[in-house]
Amino acid sequence: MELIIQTTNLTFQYSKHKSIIENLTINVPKGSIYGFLGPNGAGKSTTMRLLTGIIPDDNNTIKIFGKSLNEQIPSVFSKIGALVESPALYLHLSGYNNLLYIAKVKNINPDKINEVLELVELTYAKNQKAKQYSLGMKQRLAIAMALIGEPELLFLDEPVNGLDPNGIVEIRKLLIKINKEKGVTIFVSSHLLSEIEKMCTHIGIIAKGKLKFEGTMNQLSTNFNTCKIEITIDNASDWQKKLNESGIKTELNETHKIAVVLNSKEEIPTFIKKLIEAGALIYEVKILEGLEEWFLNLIEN
Amino acid sequence: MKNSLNNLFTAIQAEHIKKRGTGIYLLSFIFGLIIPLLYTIVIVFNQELGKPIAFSFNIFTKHLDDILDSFTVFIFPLLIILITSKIAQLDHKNGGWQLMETTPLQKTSIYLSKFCMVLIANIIAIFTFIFFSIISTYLIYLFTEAPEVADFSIPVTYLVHLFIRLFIASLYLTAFQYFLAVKISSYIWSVLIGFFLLIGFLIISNLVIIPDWFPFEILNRVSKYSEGSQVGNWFLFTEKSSLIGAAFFLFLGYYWYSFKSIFRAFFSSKKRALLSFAVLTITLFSYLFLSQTHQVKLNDKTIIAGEIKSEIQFKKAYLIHPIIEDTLAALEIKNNKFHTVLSNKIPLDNYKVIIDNSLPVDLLFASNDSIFASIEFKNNELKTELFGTRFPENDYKKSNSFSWSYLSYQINENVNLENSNRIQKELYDEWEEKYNAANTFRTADNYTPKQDFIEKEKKLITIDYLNLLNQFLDKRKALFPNEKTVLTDDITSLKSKISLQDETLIGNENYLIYLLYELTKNDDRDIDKNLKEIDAISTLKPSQFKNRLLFNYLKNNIKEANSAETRLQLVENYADKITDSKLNKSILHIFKTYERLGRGKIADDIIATNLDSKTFSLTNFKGKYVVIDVWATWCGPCLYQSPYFEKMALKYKKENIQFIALSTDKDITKWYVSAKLKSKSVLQLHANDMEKLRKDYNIESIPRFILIDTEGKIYNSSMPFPTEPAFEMILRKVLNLKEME
Repeated sequence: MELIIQTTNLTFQYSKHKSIIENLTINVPKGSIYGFLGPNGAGKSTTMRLLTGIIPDDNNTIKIFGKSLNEQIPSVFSKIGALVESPALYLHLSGYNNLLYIAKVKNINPDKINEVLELVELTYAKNQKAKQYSLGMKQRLAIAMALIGEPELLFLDEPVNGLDPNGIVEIRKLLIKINKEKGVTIFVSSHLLSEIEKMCTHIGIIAKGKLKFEGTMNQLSTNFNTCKIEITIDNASDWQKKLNESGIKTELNETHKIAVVLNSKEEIPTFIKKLIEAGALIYEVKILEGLEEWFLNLIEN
Repeated sequence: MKNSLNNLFTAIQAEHIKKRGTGIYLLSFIFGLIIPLLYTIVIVFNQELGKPIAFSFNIFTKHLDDILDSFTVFIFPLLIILITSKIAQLDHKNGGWQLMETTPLQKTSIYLSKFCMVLIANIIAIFTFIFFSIISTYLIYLFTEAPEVADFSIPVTYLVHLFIRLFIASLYLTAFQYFLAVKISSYIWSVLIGFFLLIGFLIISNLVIIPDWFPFEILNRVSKYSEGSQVGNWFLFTEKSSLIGAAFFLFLGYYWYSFKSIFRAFFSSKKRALLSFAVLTITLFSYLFLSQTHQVKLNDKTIIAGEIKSEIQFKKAYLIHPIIEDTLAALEIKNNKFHTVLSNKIPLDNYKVIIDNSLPVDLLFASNDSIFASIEFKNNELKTELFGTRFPENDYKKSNSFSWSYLSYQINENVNLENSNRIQKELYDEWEEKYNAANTFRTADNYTPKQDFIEKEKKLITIDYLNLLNQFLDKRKALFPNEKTVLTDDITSLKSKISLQDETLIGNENYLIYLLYELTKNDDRDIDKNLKEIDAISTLKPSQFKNRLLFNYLKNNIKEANSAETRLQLVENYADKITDSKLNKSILHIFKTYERLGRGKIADDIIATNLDSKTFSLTNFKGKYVVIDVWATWCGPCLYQSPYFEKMALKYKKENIQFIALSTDKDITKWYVSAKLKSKSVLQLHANDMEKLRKDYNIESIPRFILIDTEGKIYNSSMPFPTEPAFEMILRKVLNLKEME
């Protein structure tokens, strides 16, 4: 598998004692949409800036397209589109001129401008000044500026930040489309699990500057295609035996609590109904492990 | 290299897209236009172009010169401050710096492309300014009449030179402001810092000496020395140091920008620290090298040369010492050029070249100097420009303008005089400031006056303050007769700096005042001040100093004496105290000249020609009183007196008196035109032999009025001017008319 972005123990600190990023090792395969997930202040933006060379990486631990990033700056940006931190636009210029500027510095034929404008649905406002744009339009223009010239790699920092639900869906569709149609590798950061879940093929989770998880979306869903619940129940040990006999995996947690592994969340009501019908006295049912719980757990510790 | 250039070029093109709609170049255009525009309006509506000028000059250069300083000192720096901030702000405001770093642009291209934008804006402003000052001149003379002598050819080389000098001089300020604007992301602060530096500069530049490396000062020098280098350099040294400053701030700004922090940029590795150190060292040393002062190298010969631009051909000139009127050399003038090599040792002083007994040219020099005087004599006006080894000294004299002194105000107005120590302290402080300032003078090219001149200049400054001190002491004596004024140690040391026998200062009037005050201050006799002074001088020990001093003193007093008796007394009592035979002879000669022109002496004949080329002699008028106005068309005071003289002629035309206006013009046609227009009641004559007239009647200055009696004898060889009532009173007396009521 070809890796487009690869870091080995990427570390960054402003002062000697406080690391912002610690031993971050991430691998972004070609053709993936890599969701970089983490709560606010986890170090997402710093990582993004390191990966785009805005913050210099003195230890030379970042490889892009298989080669050291430091050696490729700035020519590598003819193959990269980046939207780092919420939209860097020239507000006094029209949407068209913003794109013309990028086309000039990236040596891209200005004819492409109308294409990307069409893609982000801004053709109707192309001669309007960017300062008159709504937040969503600005965001879309910024994405267009990252997209122009068909880059091989896209860096998008919180691209749906501040958009309304409709806009979020539009952007998501757009990203999936360019990923599928043009094979663009997309590295996208977000603090919203649901967002990442819906479009990414790969996921990296960062909290307090450390990578907590990295893997494909498929791996993740297999991890979480079962559902573990905890039931507070009378005569717990008896019920455990009974359940074990009927082929259901259980553990005895405390005197009154047993953990049960079900195939999915959806099985919970039927399972509980059956138990009650069988005469069990149930005081409490709690989901022990799900994707969200796991994620929250991961970032809190 | 080629790639980098391409990259930079792309970045500049991209910056032009980015600046769309910001009006940056328009701002430059307006800033360039504003001063020529205002100037045109003011001139056209006021129609005041100063007094008429006699010498030909380029009209464009003149008008450009009028407005150049307001551009270089205020408008242009202000523009640079605004433009740099504005250009950097385009990216600060919109997160553009990060955006640019995620494009294929190199950081050098990013930093330099925006800098180039400012340079283009500078070029537009300079060009607009120069272009419209030319247009402005054309416009002005659409509405007003141009001076006859004005030259209307466009001085292309001068303009191109000025353009390039302005551009180079602005580089340093631009690089510095750009550095600030990139580093400081707030628009207000980068503008404010620049603006306060500029305003601060404007305020204090009159109070203290601004260092040569201050960016605003470098621009100021372009207009201060609009002609450029005096020693033939293309750039002034300040303009060259602008390049160094610009390079330094571009380095500093670029590295800081590129590596984001000072530490990373300059100290993070040995290599970078070494580079920073090298750049700093090179900057400092190249600046020190450029800013070192120079002194003009001397020859082993003393050469005095010159050229006179005039329609008149001159023949002879004398190089004299102005005080003792000692002739140092006689100069032959051929084709209006002169050149002489002096072999004797000559102390530093202000000498005079008198051309054909009429045109005086002041020259400052000493042995081993080479002086070239470019003299222009046109329309009866004289203009001199001096070149050669004393140009720093000449510049110093020109720059040394009068400055207001609180101290002399206090002494003149009797303020704070009760506090003797305070006044003395202020006097010392003010003296010290001026004394030190004499050391710091530099020309445009960083040349300093020579030590002999500086030493003398310092003495003159000291004398000025000692004279003030004496004035103060006199006032103290009068206002507080019972209090004793004790001199402070500082003041005593000040007094010890000036010797009472300094021969080099003898030509200086203030020194004489000081000297005579010091010599006579203990003389309590209740007699005439002049007498006290001459007594004091004559009791000095015999020396050349005493000779010269006494000579000078006698000369002045003989001139001013109002009776033959006083003159005789002066000469009888003191002339033999001058032991130098040359000076002694000279003073007797002066005495005899005045004697010869005394009342009752036979008047030497004057031969002159009238407008019809008829020759006249004084003998023609025997039996009549003759009053002569010696004048010339180029002499302003003569022209002022002339109408009053004519009025007298009209009033007394029936009396037994002939009024004659005797011209000493070199240019007879000038006289002819001017005399033709004058009143017929005055006989208009032109002297045939001016040299003889000058000698016979000791004419040192004109106008001069001479009254000769009916027997051809002198009645008064130096009459009061006709504007004074005494003139008419004398006339009425000789004509036996009764006194006026």
